[in-house]
Amino acid sequence: MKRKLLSCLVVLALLLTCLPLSLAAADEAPTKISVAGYMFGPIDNDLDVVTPAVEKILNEKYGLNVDIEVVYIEYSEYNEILNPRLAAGTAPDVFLAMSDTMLESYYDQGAIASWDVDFFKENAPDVCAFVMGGGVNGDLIDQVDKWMSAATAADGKMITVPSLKPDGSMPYKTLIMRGDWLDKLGVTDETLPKTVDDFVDLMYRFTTEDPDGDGEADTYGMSATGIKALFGAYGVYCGFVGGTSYWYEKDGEILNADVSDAAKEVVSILAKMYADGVIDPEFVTGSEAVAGSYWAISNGLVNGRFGASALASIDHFRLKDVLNDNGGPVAQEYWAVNGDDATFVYAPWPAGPDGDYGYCVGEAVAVSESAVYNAALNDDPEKLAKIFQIMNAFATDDELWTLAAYGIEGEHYTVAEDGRLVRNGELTNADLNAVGVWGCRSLYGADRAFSDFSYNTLFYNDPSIANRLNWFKKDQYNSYIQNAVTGVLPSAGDLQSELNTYRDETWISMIKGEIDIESGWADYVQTYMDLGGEQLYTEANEWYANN
Amino acid sequence: MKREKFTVWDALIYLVLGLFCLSIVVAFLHLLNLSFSPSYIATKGGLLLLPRDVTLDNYAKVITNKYIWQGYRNTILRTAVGTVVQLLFTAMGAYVLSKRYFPHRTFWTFFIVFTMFFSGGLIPTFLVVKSLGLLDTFAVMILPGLISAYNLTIMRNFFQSLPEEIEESCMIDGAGRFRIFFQFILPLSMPILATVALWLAVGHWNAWFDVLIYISDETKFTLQIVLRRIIITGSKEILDTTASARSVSDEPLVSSEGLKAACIFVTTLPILCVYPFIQRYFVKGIMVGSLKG
Repeated sequence: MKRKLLSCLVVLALLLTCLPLSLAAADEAPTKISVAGYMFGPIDNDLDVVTPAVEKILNEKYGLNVDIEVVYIEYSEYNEILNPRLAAGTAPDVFLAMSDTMLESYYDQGAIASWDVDFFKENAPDVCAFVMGGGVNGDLIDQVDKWMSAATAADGKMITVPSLKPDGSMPYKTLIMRGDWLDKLGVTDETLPKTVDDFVDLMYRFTTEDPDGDGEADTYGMSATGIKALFGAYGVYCGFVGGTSYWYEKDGEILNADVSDAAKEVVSILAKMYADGVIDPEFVTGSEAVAGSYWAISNGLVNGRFGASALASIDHFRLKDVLNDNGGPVAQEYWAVNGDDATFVYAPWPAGPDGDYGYCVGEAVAVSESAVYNAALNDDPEKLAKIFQIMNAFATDDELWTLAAYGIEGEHYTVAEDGRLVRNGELTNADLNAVGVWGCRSLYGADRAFSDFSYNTLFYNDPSIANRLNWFKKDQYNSYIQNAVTGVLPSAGDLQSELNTYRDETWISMIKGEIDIESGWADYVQTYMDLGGEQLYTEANEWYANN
Repeated sequence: MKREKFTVWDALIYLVLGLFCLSIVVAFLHLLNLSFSPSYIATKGGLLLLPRDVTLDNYAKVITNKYIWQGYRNTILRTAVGTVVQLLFTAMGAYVLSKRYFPHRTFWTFFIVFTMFFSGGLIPTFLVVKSLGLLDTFAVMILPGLISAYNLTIMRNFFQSLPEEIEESCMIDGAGRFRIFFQFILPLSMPILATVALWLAVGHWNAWFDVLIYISDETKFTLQIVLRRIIITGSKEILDTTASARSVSDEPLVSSEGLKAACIFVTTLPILCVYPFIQRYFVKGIMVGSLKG
């Protein structure tokens, strides 16, 4: 009997000693972090091999016991889906502010978390060091202040971790012309037009000299995007048709390109070209792509309706030998329609009277697509700290980032001889998303972590980027026109779209000859200013003075 | 009965209607041919009334797509359950409101019709759905729109056109309210039931927005959401500034136009097949329903 009691006591004692242990284990349930980043398709929990692997490394190597839940929010309807969830309090912990306007309004509405700069430094020291050092080799050291001001709200608290990318301010669009038409007209690489006059002249020849050789006058010089080349030649960028206003600086004053003399000049040239049938009348749609199909395919260029287009980039028209693949996506379509030996030419931007040329370029510091954090995290600083520690882990651990961004070696990517990471070509981006690749994207940054390795992988060592950069080094292939106002003007939301419509309608009428430009321009400018242009002008200059 | 003469006016009507039909057939034919074409044909543009080059690749891709079949299952389930349940509840509501002796009938009718003019808006509706615990459930595709005021009104009008004597004689024979409704009223109302059922079924088949907003579990995505994703991939240039920041290889891969067309066909075919069989009830149903206000 005694023995029985004793054994019972021993068992009890054992149980008691186990109890605190099991309680402790329950305490350490993984912190659940939900993240909705930029995705091409939903993650498939049955196939997802990447997220569990990432969690395992974070737990074992960094002591970050987290359960990452990847939430799929369709990118094209991101705000429509996210906003009700924000209102209902079911939004994920980490999500995207799609633009600086959205970022600001989220913060004003108290929808996103904010934190002290020191808090960020404490939890993500390597991310901070990378940014403050200006990225890889200090390339972007002059952008650090801009990054800081983009990351913080007016009250000095951080509200996002913007991306800092050399490719952000790199030229993108390229003027592309049909090679067969140029051959027919005897234009060689050396005689490609380099001035506005020569460019316009070539557009006339595309129209009148039957470059497709079918004996019919069924060709045009250019359409909606060729127009941008002319604006660039006069030193401005205009969103015409459909886009928004651009601002430029002149003698310390910020001016709207939509009411500039340069714009008047270009509209006059366009009116003459239109009257002579050189511009495709479909330019009024502002688009060269067929509705619903891939945006970068200029239907008119590919099918020989007009000869010049600036819709796509060199990458879209990449030749086969750059990556030893089938070529850029638009180039493939071009060859499919025009034959495998059909050619296209990257043309220099025509320069205007003052030597200006090019298309608009973006900013190295970008808020769009960078992550913001649910306001609920303000009450859970430990979780927010963990999120930044994860970001830091991605910045220091190249293997971890490769796993999250490329998947599993041999299955989702291979390492080429030169060390490049090559994705498995048989998997679409949506397939990769399904197995968990990119699921943690917004936890490590935008498309890359804040590390030399990821920048080298996605930018510096990428042959297609090198190809682009090589072309942009050539005379007049570069672009440099930047919007002088990179912030959000307070009244832009109310006024801008009406102004854009007014500009588009008036200019189209001018180009079609329904309004006389010489006599009508002053009226146009006056009405534009009255409709709200004046207000935006004041705000733009205030913004400029403060930044 | 004297046969009426075929006049010029008739010919004109036939011509206009014929052209109208043709405009629909041509679009379908174009899409059908596109779905059997390799991708470059679409880029070439133009109307495809005859196939220029035939490939089955597009259909092979669609048929092997797991999401399409998953979507099919969900959509069929939604359409079947949704139509039956909604029809039942709408009919019951309409029947009650069609009875003249129903107390405060005008008030209740107004109460329901009133909702046709005002909606709560997206976010309040979302909040209601959330607080009912319906988020991410199958029921969210059916319950919030269980009874449509419009369908209810149409059905009510139809029920009102049925002679009240039927009900009286049933009662004399000893039938209860439910028996009258299920065994006499509903069988007599086949035209309106078929019409509303078709509307509901087509509505469920095509619905996508509620799924987009309320459902985040991809195993519950319906066909239209999958189709939408395939169709709009790559069709929009992301903002100028971010476009430059993104390498081309990182953009959504383009689904070819042929693939899109094949998807559209695979997803629309079932509803196209159902249509002709129910359509004959259509005219009858609406006409009778509209007789009395």
